[in-house]
Amino acid sequence: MSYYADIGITILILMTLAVSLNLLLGYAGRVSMAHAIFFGIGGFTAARLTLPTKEELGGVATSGLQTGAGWSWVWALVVAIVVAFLAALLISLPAVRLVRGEYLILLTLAFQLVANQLMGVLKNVTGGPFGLSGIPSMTIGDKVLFLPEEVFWVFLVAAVVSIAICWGLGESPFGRLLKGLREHDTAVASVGKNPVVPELLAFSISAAIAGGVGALAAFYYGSVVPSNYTLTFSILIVSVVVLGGIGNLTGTVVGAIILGLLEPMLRKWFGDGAIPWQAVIYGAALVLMMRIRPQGLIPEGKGLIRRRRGRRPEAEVPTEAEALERLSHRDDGADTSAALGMPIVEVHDLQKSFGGLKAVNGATFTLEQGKVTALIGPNGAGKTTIFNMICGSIEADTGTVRLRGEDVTGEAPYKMARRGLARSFQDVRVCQRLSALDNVAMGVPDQPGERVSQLILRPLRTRRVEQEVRAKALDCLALLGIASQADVLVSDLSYGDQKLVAIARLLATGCDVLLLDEPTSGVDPASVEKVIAGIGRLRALGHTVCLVEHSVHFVQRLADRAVFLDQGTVIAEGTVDELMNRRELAELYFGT
Amino acid sequence: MKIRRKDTPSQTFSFPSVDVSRRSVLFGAAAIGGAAALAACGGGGSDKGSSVSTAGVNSAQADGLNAIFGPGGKEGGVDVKLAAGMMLAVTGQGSFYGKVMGNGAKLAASQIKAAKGFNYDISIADHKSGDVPAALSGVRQLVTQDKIRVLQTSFGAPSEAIVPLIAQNKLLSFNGGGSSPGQAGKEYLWQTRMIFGDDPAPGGLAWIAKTYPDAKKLAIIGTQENGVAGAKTIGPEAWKKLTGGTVVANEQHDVGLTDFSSLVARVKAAAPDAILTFTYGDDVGYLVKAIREAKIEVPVMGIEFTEQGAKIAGAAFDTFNFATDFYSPDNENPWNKIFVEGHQAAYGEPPEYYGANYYEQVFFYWELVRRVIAAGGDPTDTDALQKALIDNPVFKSLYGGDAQTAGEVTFNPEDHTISKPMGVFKVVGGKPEKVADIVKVSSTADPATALV
Amino acid sequence: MDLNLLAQLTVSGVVVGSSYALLGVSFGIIYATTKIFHLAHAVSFAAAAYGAVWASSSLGLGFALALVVGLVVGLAFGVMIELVFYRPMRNKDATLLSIFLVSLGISVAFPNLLQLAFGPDNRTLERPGNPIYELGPVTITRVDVIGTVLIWLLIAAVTTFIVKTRFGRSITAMRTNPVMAEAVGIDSKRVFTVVFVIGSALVAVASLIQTSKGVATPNMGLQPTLIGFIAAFLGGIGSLWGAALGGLALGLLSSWSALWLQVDYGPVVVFGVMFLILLVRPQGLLGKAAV
Repeated sequence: MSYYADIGITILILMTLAVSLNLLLGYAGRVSMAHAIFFGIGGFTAARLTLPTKEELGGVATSGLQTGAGWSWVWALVVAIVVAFLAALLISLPAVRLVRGEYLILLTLAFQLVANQLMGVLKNVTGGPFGLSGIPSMTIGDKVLFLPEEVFWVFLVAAVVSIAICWGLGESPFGRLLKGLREHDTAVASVGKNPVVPELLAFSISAAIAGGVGALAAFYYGSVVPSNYTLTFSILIVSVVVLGGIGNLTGTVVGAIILGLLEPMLRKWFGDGAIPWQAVIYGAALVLMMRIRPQGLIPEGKGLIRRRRGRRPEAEVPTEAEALERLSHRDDGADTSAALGMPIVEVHDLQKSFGGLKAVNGATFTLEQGKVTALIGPNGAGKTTIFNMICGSIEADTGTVRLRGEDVTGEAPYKMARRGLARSFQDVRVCQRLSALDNVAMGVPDQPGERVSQLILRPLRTRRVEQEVRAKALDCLALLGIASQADVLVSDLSYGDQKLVAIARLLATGCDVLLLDEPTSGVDPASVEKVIAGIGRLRALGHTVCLVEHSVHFVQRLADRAVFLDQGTVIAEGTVDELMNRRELAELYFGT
Repeated sequence: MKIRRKDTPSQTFSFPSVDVSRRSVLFGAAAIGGAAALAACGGGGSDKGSSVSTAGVNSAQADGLNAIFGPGGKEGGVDVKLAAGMMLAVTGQGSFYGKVMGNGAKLAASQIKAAKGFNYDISIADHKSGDVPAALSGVRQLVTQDKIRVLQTSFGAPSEAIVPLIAQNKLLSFNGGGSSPGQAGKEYLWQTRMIFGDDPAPGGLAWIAKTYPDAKKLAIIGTQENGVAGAKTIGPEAWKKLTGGTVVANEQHDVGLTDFSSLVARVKAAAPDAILTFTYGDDVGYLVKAIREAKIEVPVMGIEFTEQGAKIAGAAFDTFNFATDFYSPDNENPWNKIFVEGHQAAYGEPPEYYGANYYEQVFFYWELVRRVIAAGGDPTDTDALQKALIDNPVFKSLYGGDAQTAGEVTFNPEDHTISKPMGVFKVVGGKPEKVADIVKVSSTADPATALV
Repeated sequence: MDLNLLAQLTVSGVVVGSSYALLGVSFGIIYATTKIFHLAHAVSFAAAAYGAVWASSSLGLGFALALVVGLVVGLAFGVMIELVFYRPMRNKDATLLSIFLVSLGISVAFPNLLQLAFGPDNRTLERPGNPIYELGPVTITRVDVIGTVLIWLLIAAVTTFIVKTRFGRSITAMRTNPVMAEAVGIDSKRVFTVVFVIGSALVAVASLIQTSKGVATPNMGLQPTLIGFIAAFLGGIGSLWGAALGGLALGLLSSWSALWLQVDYGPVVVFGVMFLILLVRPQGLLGKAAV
């Protein structure tokens, strides 16, 4: 019994670690090569806190260092979790600038190596290479949990709780946000979400779980040794996640069971001689898996619970009129019709050079409230660069951007979105592995469910708000005429529909100034009509729209005003027809 | 740069306790079984009912053993069955040691059986060459499944880790292959080899002081794992008493270091007259090579010899000396002859150091069982067995002795360590050759008396 | 400060740092061009050493010939990994993460295959003696002198090849703008193959220099690979001289740290500095900030 319970504990530990890593790797799309270190930090923290004090040992501690604070295991567990959380926060705080994946690999790898080395060197803290031993077992009341078959249940509870936490977070609006960041952090920022905090939290929560299970493992094994927390172990955890299926917790559970059983099975069937083969099999499995089934055993989105992935029945889809009615009912109740035509965005003398190239050279124009303004001009006129400067994703060399009279030059994109100005991207940047509805829901501002503290403290409220969010998202989709596609994965949608999803996402942000970057490029003619209709409804809702567009036909049908740019300078403003009737501009534009 | 080779174990730590922290064994094996790190999955299946081979046992040997240890039959414990566990490196980089230790104990069990002694019933568990969780799982399994009363353990870190389990289950335990200071004085756990590095250091230094009388400045090189006390206190104090000289450098490095150039540069800058090193395994090969490549041409005293280290150092190793409780199959001692003969017959090769230690341990148990029977106690009660050990800590040994009598070893009831005959060796043509006998001395004694 | 010690540590640091430089360049050229986190570089490293050992012990070849065999074997393994594993995946638009994981799988499996084939023991190469030269207070061995000179000649040759030749410039083009490079007719497959040839050959040389003074073990490859990418990142991805100087700096830093610290703190200092540089200057010492 003990034997099997012990194997079970091994698997549960691996499972808990891998599930927590999957929160980071799967949902947030970030690889950590240092998960074993957080496991170890929890272990050493718990060891130092629960080891008996010198007095308790009666001063006969033979090896001198194996003393601690004599705490009970429960408090030590709590502190271990907190310490691992803070350690991860500390490590990742400076890393936020390094959003590129390989830097996080490198950084965590460096951290893995430094920390493991320090565990061996800092003898006063960690006991040196032989670590700390004599850690007391867990107790419940008077019952000492010593035998594996007893401790097993603790690990089972820990695994279930961890899986519940990771699943709960992953499937919540917070998880949706993480998935969005995983695919397009710029797009997520563009709809007003802080792109940094969720990832920090995912990293730290993942580390905290590892720290907690590290503490439990320390109580069970009675000792912590630096060699238990090596790079190879970190790699193993990553492998479990990858084999099981990135972003799928069921897969991780299955992966942990398979890899955990590999060794006892091999040994049972082939004897001790099979041991070196085990690593070969494991390496080969990794290679084969990536070659044959890179999404893992159980890919993301698949699992025990089958989800609806088809079109929604018409009955469940709101009509456009209903959607328009609900969406036009503004939260603040303000009537914007009076302000129609007033300048809302004022761009003054923006300049930007890349290297020696002057991309934008003193652009000055305004956007009027409730109007559709088109930026037109030949390729390389600097239109997209101006967009980028307005919404703050690149810094202007000189010049100012005012929003409702306030100077907002250089504000980060997510802050601009919170001020009511958001943009779409030429290359759509919708999240391919999320449903259309999820993509749009991500745009809805101020969701308590995106905050971990609210998820924990006010679960009912977050659930209720989430219902509202999804309803609003569905309305946004309905307004653009694609609500029946709400549950379809974006990767399965046509490119035209993806563009509509992107616009719906902007609509969901509640921003009243929307910058659309080539909303119809690459879109089939039928979808172009949908886009035109959709933008028309944005205007009907009182939104101010600015678009960059090449199709004159499109611009003529939609835009109230046009700003003509060439070589980074505004050379004309007016209605589209006015501008197109000016021959020199038409020549410039069509290159004749 | 010296990156700790945690994941690149070396076959060669000839002293198993060394391993243990890089001991993750095969890169991948550890990876998979990070599991290794985790649990080694229950320490593997226990090798229940390991057949005690009767090969290599003949009646002459049985008679010889009876002549040395006393008659068989009732007073020899022929009715007594002692369930015993062995915690060995069955797999992983140290599996060679697991094999020879197990072989030694099994041979002892069969020879004792032939001599009508007690039934020593062995179950084996695997700590995978030093994984702590594996060791813990393994002991749990031995205790709950195999109901063991005594335990022969090995390696340093696993043995330290199982100390609480040993105490809790009152397993009278011997460790003959990974004695670390952290195990000293622990309940029911006794060391049957000298403390690695610490015990032979005074003798080794005494030999240097005698052989190189001008040497005054000593450099010490060690690790954080073994020989820590030797490097910090025992070595420096002994050197001062022996020569009145000083320790001019005391360097530490990671186990698994291969590039010793910076360390050796520091040592060279201190201009020592002699070097004492507690480095072991492959590392000592790299170290000695680096010392000679830096043209430091002073005597070097180490604490172990390994074939792998010799390969690395090449010719440089022929300028290397070491002090340890080195086992020699050529010892004339009559018990040792029975052992060597039996080992040769059973396994087709002469025994080596670790096989000898674990063979010897079984006879310690036998001796204790005999004493408890003689005193009318219960020979499976480990308290009674331990009391018998404390009452008379002297046992017959494969080490030392002469052509007529077996050697003798003495346990120290205070710290549960042992005193064994040791020697200083030099390497000649890649092979060790004994140049002096040494003994363990207390910290207050004159270290010169360590040299016999 | 002890000047003799400083001199010796500097010389040792240059010797060690030069091999790190070579590792950095070999890793850096592959990473910068293909964007693959080529952990299986370790396989080329170990394969080169075992190739040489096998040629010397089983084929009875002389030292020089054994080294040539080792070079070819190491190079062949590197190119094979690209052709057999990476390229088909790239053709199927696999993500860089999944290619990295394949690389990881290979680097886990291979040492164990080596161990099954050759045993876990240290293997040595039959080799000529290695005389020691004394220059005042400083000593250095012949292998170290030859190795260090060879390394910098190779690094100079590779960088010259990249800068001066047409094909070398196409590598740079591929690195800086793959889309544009393909658009102007550069064959990415050919460029990648050549990059793997160069990178694997360089790492094989590093391996053979090490094996000429030490031993071959199945797990010998991982650590140099880690050092290689640390050096490459330190120097700045895309800059081969940066990678070389990054490696040299690592070697000197860890060696000089012995002026003040016990050597077991060396890795802490080195990784710690690397950690700091990553934080303060993520683009590396000589890298250009990403726009």
